[in-house]
Amino acid sequence: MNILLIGETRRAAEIAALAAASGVRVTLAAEEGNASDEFQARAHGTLAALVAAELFRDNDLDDAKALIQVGSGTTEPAAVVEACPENLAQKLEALRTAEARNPRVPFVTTTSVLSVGEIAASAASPGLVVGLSFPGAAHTNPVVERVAGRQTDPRSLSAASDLAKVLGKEVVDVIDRPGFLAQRLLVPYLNDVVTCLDEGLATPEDLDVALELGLGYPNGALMVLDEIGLDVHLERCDALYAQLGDAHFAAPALLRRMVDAGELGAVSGRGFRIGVNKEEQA
Amino acid sequence: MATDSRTVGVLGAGTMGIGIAIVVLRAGHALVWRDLSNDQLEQGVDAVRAFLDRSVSLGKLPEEAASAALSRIETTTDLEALGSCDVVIEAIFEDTALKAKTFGELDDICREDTLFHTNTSTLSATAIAAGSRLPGRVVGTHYCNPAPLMKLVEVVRARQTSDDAYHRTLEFIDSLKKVSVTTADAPGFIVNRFLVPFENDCIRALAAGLGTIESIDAITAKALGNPMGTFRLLDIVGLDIHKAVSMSLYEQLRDPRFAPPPLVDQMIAAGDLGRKTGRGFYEYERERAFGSGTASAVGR
Repeated sequence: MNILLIGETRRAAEIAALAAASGVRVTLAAEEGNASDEFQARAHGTLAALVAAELFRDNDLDDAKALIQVGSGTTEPAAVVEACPENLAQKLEALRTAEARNPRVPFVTTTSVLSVGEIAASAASPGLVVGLSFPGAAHTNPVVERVAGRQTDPRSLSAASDLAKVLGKEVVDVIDRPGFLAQRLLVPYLNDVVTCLDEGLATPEDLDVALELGLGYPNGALMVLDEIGLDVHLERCDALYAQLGDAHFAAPALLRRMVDAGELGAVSGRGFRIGVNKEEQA
Repeated sequence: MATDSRTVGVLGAGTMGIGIAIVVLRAGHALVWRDLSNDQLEQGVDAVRAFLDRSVSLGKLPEEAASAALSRIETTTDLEALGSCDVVIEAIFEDTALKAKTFGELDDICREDTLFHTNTSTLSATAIAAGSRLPGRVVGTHYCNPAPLMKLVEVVRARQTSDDAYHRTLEFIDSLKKVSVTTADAPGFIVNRFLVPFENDCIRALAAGLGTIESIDAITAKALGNPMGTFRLLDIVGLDIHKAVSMSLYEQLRDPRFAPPPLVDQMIAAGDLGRKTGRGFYEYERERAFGSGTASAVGR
């Protein structure tokens, strides 16, 4: 199988690494240059992380790396996959790129928070547009949400399942409502923890320890946010609040201030938990 | 036995009282266990013995340690018997006035340096502390259920809690080999503050047709990494208990996320309280979801 990938986000790099590790040839729709070099380096780094986590065999690493290419693919892809930042303008720009290159191939949007139907509304063939939303890190989370818009045709739906299966994911069908299931449930919870932190309920460490030991969550909410990226979470809040008008989805002021200050979590080396010592937390 | 062993009073021989009694005994402390009912105390001691016996048969506890622990239990229906206690932990009915009044009575019985711990999950430690003439000694200690297995204790500083009582409480929790986190006296503290509205969001998503029992449990357990699906957890907790906790938090916080959705009332009216009645979100005899809508995920 081969796919055309549009977008150079961290999510895109995760998908490229996951696809290559699954034996899928990935062509990044970009001009060769600094940006695409950076993207390849990031995708290779994610592949190395898969090896480190023992999710992928070391001796296949070079083969997998070779599956990630930049520029024009030779054969028609099974699907075009977009993983652009979460705003409609960039999603539609990706749609134009896809239509110019492969007008009859299913267009898979990986949006977590925008409407599949709204993207489809701008497509020349709305039936080709389908969603595959990764609830966590694309290369490690076992689940993917498959999103059918009202316009999505059955062929595109099965193309999306085929791709999900090749990537080793369990498919959960969801309807095209803001945030689908995962973000709809996760975002208000994460926001609530940030708001309570700001109000002085407990220290960041104690909040996370309570959630881990009290509820058995693998990571507390603040560590989850550091890993998602505070900027990525902010983007999700803004998109969901705009659609739902529910204050529980509005980005907490503290989150916005931290993004303003460049404190994005793991990617920037400083967030709620990462890069913060105990004295600073108290 | 630990050299810093203390005499610990536990009030109440219900589920939480039994769990806390086991934790206290396992740490080498002496236990003065008080309940209004002798029958309840007898059942409590039987439950402690059964738990310790199982620990012995699993090789987790030497037999001598288990029998020594049992010999350190003194049961009583008389509050006066708590006079020698270094710490009193109340695990009685979740009622602010009752808990406050009990601490007021203990003021006349216990030494001035005796710590008063209230094990509440949703009530205000400050309102309970107000019942004591020495409210600085009152600290909230919320043990998670089942107490013998869960490592976490939420330590709640009431408005009146003194620094000395707070620090001695941290040392005491440490002696129990538990991990403490410190929280302000806010409704639901940390664990229930974040769990309960998440559960209600899942119920509302189900009622709104955003997903099915199975798909929402798949997302919560597998995609979000929770130890089990939310609906499986709610069936274990019991829908009646979930409603009571939700209402208590809703009345204190006045945020609709905490309000139990109408589906909860419907399930309670139908007697579908969860595992304990054989049916909740799932049917336990047939091991399948019950009443999950047939809403298709395609084309809505």
